[in-house]
Amino acid sequence: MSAKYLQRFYAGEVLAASRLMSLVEKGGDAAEAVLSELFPRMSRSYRVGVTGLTGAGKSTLINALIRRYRDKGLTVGVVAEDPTSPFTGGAILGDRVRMQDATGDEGVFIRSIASRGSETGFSSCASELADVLDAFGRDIIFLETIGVGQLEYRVRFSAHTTVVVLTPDAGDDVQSLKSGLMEVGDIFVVNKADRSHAQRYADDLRSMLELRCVEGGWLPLVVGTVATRDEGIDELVESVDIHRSYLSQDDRMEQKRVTALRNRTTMIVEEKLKEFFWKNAYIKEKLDGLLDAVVAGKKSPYEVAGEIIKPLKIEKKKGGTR
Amino acid sequence: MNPKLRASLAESKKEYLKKVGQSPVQDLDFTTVSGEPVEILYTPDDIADIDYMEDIGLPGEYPYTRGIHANMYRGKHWTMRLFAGFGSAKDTNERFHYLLRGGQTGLSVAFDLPTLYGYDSDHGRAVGEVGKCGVAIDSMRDMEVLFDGIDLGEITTSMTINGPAIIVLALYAANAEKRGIALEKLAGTTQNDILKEYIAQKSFIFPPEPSMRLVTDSMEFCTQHMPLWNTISISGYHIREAGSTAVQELAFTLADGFAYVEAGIKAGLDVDEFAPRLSFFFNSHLDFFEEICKFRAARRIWARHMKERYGAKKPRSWLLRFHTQTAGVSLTAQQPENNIVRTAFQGLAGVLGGTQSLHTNSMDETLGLPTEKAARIALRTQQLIAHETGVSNTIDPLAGSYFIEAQTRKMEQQAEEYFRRIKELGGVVQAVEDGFFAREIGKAAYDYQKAVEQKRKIVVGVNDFKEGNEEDEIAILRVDDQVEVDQVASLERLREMRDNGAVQAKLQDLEAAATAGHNVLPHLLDCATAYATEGEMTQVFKKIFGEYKEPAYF
Amino acid sequence: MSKPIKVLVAKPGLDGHDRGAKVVANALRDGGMEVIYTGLHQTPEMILEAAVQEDVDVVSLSILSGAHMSLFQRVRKMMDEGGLKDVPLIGGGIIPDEDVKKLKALGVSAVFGPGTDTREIVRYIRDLFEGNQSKKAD
Repeated sequence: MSAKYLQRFYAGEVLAASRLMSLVEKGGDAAEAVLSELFPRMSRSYRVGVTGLTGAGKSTLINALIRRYRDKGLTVGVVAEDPTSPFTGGAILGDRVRMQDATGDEGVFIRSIASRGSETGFSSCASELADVLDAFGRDIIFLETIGVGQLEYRVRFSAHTTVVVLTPDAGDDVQSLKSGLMEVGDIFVVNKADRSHAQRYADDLRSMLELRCVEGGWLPLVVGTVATRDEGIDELVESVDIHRSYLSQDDRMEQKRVTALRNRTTMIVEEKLKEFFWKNAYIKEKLDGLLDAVVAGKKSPYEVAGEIIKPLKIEKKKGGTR
Repeated sequence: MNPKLRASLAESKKEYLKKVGQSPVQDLDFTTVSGEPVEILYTPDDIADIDYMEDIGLPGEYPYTRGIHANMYRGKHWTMRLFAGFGSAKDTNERFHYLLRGGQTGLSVAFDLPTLYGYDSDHGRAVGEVGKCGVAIDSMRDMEVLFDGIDLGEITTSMTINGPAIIVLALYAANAEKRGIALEKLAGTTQNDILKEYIAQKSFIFPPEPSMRLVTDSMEFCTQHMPLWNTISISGYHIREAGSTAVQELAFTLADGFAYVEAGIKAGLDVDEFAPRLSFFFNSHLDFFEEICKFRAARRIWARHMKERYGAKKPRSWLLRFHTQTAGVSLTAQQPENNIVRTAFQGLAGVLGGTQSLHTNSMDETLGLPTEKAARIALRTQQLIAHETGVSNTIDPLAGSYFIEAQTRKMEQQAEEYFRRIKELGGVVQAVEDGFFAREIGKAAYDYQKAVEQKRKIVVGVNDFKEGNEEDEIAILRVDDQVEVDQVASLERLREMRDNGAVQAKLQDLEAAATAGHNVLPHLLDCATAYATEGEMTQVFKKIFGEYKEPAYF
Repeated sequence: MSKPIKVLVAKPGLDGHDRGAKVVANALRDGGMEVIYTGLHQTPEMILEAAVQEDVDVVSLSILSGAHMSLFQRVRKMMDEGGLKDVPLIGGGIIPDEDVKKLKALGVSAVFGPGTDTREIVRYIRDLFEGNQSKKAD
């Protein structure tokens, strides 16, 4: 089935790309087969992550950025993530509604996704949807996430440039900025910059970033915007360009790509390993048996783990791998 | 209240409440439709600290709690003004005459969606919508037909129009002038309340800043040239229909009002010059007493703020004059005859609340626009209230009720709390952009829906008392698709017959004035007189001001 | 891994009444579905574009302006021509019973009039897909 979609996908049909993305969302063997098939085409687009708390104006910013990039003649993809309700498993995906300037433009593809219980606020699925858009030929891809990023998060979705969007309230202090966000941003946007305290906040942020900047490393840029009035957007585009040229020096882009691929592959191997491990009936049986001892206080969980793992061996078979 | 009396009452009440606590209680929600708790009983101690002269006063005197006129309905009944409009200008003109013959005392125009959004009937976006939920008005020609046989110098006209309000006002006024009626004699209202469009009704066109400028332009022009015209009908009706609670309706409407006052002052106008022509428009919803308290609280709050905060000196500036419409959202498609009763209760609440003008809904409005018969019954409802119930005989009859005065004050306090929150957010426009109103209203709407689905709130015919739902449908009004065809043809003829050179010239003048920051209304009048279309004038503004896209918060 | 049902809630035409659409969106979310709200003033082209890019399982329209015959018809046609023939189209608003019959004949799967319990809508959509799972892309 996916074969028929693949044909149409290569021909540039949007519905086919969309259906393949759904397949990828569903996961499983078929999804992995498609992702493997598309893998060779997956590192052409430039990816910009846009993160920040709800209400910061991420979607509105992306809406403005889309227009700028379209004016430059680039095709755009957007993967916009919103939180799944932990109680009901449902979600209202409300980012698309704010990116409507591009309706009717075939050069813009917007896909919304729910976080589906991912703790980092960014489901790895979003990354894979971006992969499909990449393979589909989109020049630039925006990944919008509900951000409270963790350190590994940037690596996880391998965005080239990560933009952190902030909208400080009066009285907010840069000190209180969540540390995850600090680490992750290549560019910081102070949106709703027309509010009186915003200028001061931006200045404080610049000072703090300077203090933390490592010698020879990238000093994150701080840009003030008023997304709803289309102000500061050109400066933001310029900042992304500056970061992009920074990355293109000294092989940094390639290093990033390697790290990202390595991390991604490792993660997938880990996941599959866990799957494989727990599918094994012998393991399950052994564990069940040993659990009684833990409950009875006779063995510690660590001892039990040792008993299960110790006898396992990973060997290279002669003439191949086991 | 003297201390001895107070003590004895407190004692008795304690006993009483104990007794009540042991008596059976129905498994019902004893809250208002807004979810506000209501006590089982109110007694003198609930209003002991309310000062009659300071807080309640006399009708026609500050703070106007009991009514804005000294003689209220003894002098003149509220204006019976039914909202009407559908199909072509001719169709609606017929309906106007029907209602006037029936005894209504003021006109109220409902425009179709293309007109509300500044699109001509032949625009791509108008397809399928022409004349469907209001009358199609494209040019002064349509206004001529719409008011054919009606003396605009003798009757007041209310026009529910917001985004392009100033343009439609120009079309209306140009038509009146052409018929020999001086602008100074034109009396009526344009809704022109753009802030509530962003909050609730959503028929905005341009972004907030230029829209406010158009509002102040109309305020400035009318103050000088159309002194009998109400420039804004600051509305809560739509906010309530969108799902807000009664307190939210009260607070958000008045907050909008304050924003307009501030805008007028900022534009250099003298508050006492434009404030007397600000008017209001409220919903009259299911909970009978909550609505009455809301209206009374509204008058008191407005008077207090106008006098004490904005320093208005003329008593006319302190008056909150309002129109009321019964709650469309409370009507059911099931057993529509019940809607006649709902509307009667709601109309009565409006009257007991001291409204200046009233629209009563027709029973078939959950199915379509009102038929003649349904509209007649709605009008008769008002006439029954006015002439048979006796409630007009005395002013503000519920004043002094322990319950009513306690609730009136409570609503005032709750509204003041909202004013504080909105101020903290940086004002109404900022709050709109932050999604504050959308979230408050959305939550109230969803909470109510859940209450109905869980049967904590009963809706007769919908979640209970359903026998009768299967009965044959009543006749409903249908707007023929032919209306669109005819209107488009008519528009084509208009464009052929008018002096297109003159139209272009006038539109260019309009553009220049709008860009330079001059008052646009005189130029709109010129355009209207030359038979420029609403769409053409709107397009000039769209080019300069841009279009607003709402951020759709949940 | 199962995928929740994805629903597009659209406001076609010029109608600005969004209370019902938002209440339904909330109810669908509470019913475990993923909802894309299109916002106001959508043309049939915009609705198709969103439905295609998001690969939704169901498209729903909310219309209170009287323009339902024209709008439902045009959206259904757009969807059929755009490769979404198998995607159900449902809706609600101010639609007389007589018109509901006509709409169903045009290919609208269900119309939920005023007073509908939102749980009924959730149930209906779930039944279309036998549970909470999207049928998409097998």
